Amino acid sequence: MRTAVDRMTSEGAEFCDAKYQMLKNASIRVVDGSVRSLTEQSLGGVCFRARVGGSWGYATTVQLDKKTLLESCLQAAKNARLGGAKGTRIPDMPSRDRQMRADVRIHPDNVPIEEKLEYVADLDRAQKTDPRIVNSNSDYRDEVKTNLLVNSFGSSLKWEEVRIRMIAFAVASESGHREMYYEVTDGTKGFELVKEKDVNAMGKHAGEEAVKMLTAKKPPSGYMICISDPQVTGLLAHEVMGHASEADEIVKKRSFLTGAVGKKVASDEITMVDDGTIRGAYGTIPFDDEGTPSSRTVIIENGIYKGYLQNLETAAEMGVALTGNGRAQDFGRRVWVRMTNTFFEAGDWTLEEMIEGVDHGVLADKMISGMEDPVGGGFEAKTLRGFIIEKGEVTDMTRSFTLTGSALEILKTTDAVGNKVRLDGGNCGKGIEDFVLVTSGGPHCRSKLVVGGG
Amino acid sequence: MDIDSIISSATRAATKEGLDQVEIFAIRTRTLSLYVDDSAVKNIEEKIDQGLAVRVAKGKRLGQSSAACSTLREAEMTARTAVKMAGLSPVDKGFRRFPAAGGKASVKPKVWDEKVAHLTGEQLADIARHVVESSMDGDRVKVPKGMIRTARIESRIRNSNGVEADHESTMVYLNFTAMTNGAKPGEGIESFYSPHLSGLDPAAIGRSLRGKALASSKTVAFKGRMKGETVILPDDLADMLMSSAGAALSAENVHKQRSAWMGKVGEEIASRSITLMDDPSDGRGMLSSSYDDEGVPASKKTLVDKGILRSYLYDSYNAGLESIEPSGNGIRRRPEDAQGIYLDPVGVWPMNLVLAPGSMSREELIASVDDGVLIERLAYPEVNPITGAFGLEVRCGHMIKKGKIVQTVDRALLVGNMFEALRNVREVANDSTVFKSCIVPTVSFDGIELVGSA
Repeated sequence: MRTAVDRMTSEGAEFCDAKYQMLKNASIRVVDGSVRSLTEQSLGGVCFRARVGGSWGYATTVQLDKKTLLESCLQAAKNARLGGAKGTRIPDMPSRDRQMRADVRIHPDNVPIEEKLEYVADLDRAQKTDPRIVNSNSDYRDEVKTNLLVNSFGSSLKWEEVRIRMIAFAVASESGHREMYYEVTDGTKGFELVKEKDVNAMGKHAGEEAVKMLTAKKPPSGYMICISDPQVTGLLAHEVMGHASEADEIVKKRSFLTGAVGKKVASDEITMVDDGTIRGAYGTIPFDDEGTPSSRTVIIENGIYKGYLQNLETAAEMGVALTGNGRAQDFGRRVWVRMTNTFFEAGDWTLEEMIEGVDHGVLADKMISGMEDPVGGGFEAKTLRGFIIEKGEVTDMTRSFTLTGSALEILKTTDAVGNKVRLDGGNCGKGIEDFVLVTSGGPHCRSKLVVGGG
Repeated sequence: MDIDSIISSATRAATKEGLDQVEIFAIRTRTLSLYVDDSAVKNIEEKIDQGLAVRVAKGKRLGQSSAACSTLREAEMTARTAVKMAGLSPVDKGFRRFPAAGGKASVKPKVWDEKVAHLTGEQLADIARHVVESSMDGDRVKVPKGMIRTARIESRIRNSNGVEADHESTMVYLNFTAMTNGAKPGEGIESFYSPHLSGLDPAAIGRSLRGKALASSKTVAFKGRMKGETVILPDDLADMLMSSAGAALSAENVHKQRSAWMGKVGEEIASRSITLMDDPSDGRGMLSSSYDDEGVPASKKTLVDKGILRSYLYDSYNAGLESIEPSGNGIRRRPEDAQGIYLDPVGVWPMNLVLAPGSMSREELIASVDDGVLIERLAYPEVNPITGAFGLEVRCGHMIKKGKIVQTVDRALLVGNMFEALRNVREVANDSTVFKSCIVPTVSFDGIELVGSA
């Protein structure tokens, strides 16, 4: 790897790195009580990356013989020379020499797959709370990622990341009408995450809530007050402000937050951070995929915009400090500026106080998906379900609906922020691909926006 | 190591263990990608990938394993892991067998383009620069991001029942964004999907990008609500159709009781103007192939005939549940990405979902609308696959009055249900376009609502 870095440098790379990554995972899928999939996978390979001017060349391979590795690193340097883009040279950084094991109590490698299977089978069985549950699904996945990175700063890093995620997904049906509900637990933790979870309660809850959703009504449509639960708040933080704060969108002026530092962008109630150092959170990373240690970045503080998320290239272009947000889906994909754990910080309202103040509105409950809009400053957040609020009281449950509006207008309407923060894990794409593992979250928040559902 | 030696090694290792059935899916790909950032060539990447997915059966106990694989030892280890998984797995009463040999390929789509297979970084850069130059309009329009991904894909499927299926294809996927400069930037997006380079017209893509960005810069926030005629263009419609009809046609979802079309074969489930086919013989299809990814011969099938549901799609597992033959729809490959395919499980999907075109041109269809909206761009056109419900953020829509576009809008939600919409089709145009693994034309619907702020 060091030889490859030296060769890329001698081929004209102004900055370069070489990264070996081995990703191993075990996954179990139980459907309606049957084990549909018991799988172990591994994905290992090397990525060489070289920068000339403002252009990058990448070459990746799963063939690890010396000849192929040498050809690949030369290809990376050649590809970098082809681009011809202008750019600011990445300044030299102090070299780092570190080796880190994952901070877990029970390493998943040390747990027999039979034991993992027992928990997943229990999770599936527990969903069958009612004859109307027509389909139960239980997924488990553990992931051990070993990274080895060498770069032209002279750094040599080796670190391990361990993640576990378990999902219960129940489908209920009555008279041809179907609804679903899910529960998730995840983290950068070992198998203690599963052992400490009451999987029977988790599965039972998914089943019971899926059945309850059969009575859910069509959601209202229109511009109205919405109290978002922590998951949906997280989706707002992530999609509305998070993606637009990624500095690769700033340097090319594709974000509506370009030039926003120091400006008022939200109500005083709003403080938002990205923090890759939170112990155990699903989006936590010791180093980003360029070898920069992760950090806590304040994006908005009491409504004032503070700063962007950076990788090596954008920090050089903007002349600011690194934040440790250069991330890639795996060794075979491009490094972009990406979030880690992104959330609104707590305010001082209770949920009950927020609901009391609503004459007509909705309470959004659990997310399905979201989509960013860094250019237009809009967003889309799909919720799994919601509840109608009438004259300060929660009334009927509704089916899935979508929230949308202008980010800056919505955040200026936020007049109440709850006092309890929760983070939830997920997969974040840059557009529709390049997925990295993150969390998003926050407290309950009350804002005004457009709501609609079919 | 060549792919045939890898297959032989994995097969030997699995067979030694006395298993009843063994299936090997092996794939080798070369991906050449180029990224444009801020109107300049930012990244050129070359990626060589090779891997195996091994499925084994010990009676009715199933195991699987997959890995990036470039040596005989890795192939053996992958096979042994699958065997271990089968030993640990409980009996799956639903499993019958992996596909049987004997079926001859009835379709031979032309999905290999020698030019794509041997593209160079220089050639890709020329195409990208041509798109950029054709998009730009002085200081008014720029290209903040763009990507061209090309690949050559070679896969082999071998199983102990005698299946031997080989597949070779190429892939060209382009996705560019143009935006206007100024206080209220507009954004336009263009995509291109094909196994061939011949249909790619960089100048036309650039001109279209510029036009879309300029139109999008004139949007105003939609106010109130409207339930008129809704015209949806092929790109967004393809995603909406695949996530609703594609899911409902899957026998896996039928067996899980998640399909909205469960038990409806022979019934009217859509307007008479809707005919849906799976056509793997069409050389325009990104996944078109003589065999599916289980080695079952693919064939052209009418799934919905003038609104009447004719059949579902089957992989070998779900066909086994009904003691019928699979339809050749066990799919691992993806339409826009060739990396890590061996890590994806077999899913049940159309290989190439075709909505039969009507007789009107797009322009004639728009001219026929008395009062409605033409949807040019949605944030993320995803429909709830179980219920069909959707609430989708409109990033760019054109209001139509008496056949003329009178205003361009955003900040609105398109609200409806896709299964109901398919029963309320007004017109189907003849502008069939390839998008992902679909070929669909523009369609207009009644009964879909547009919701904006008050």
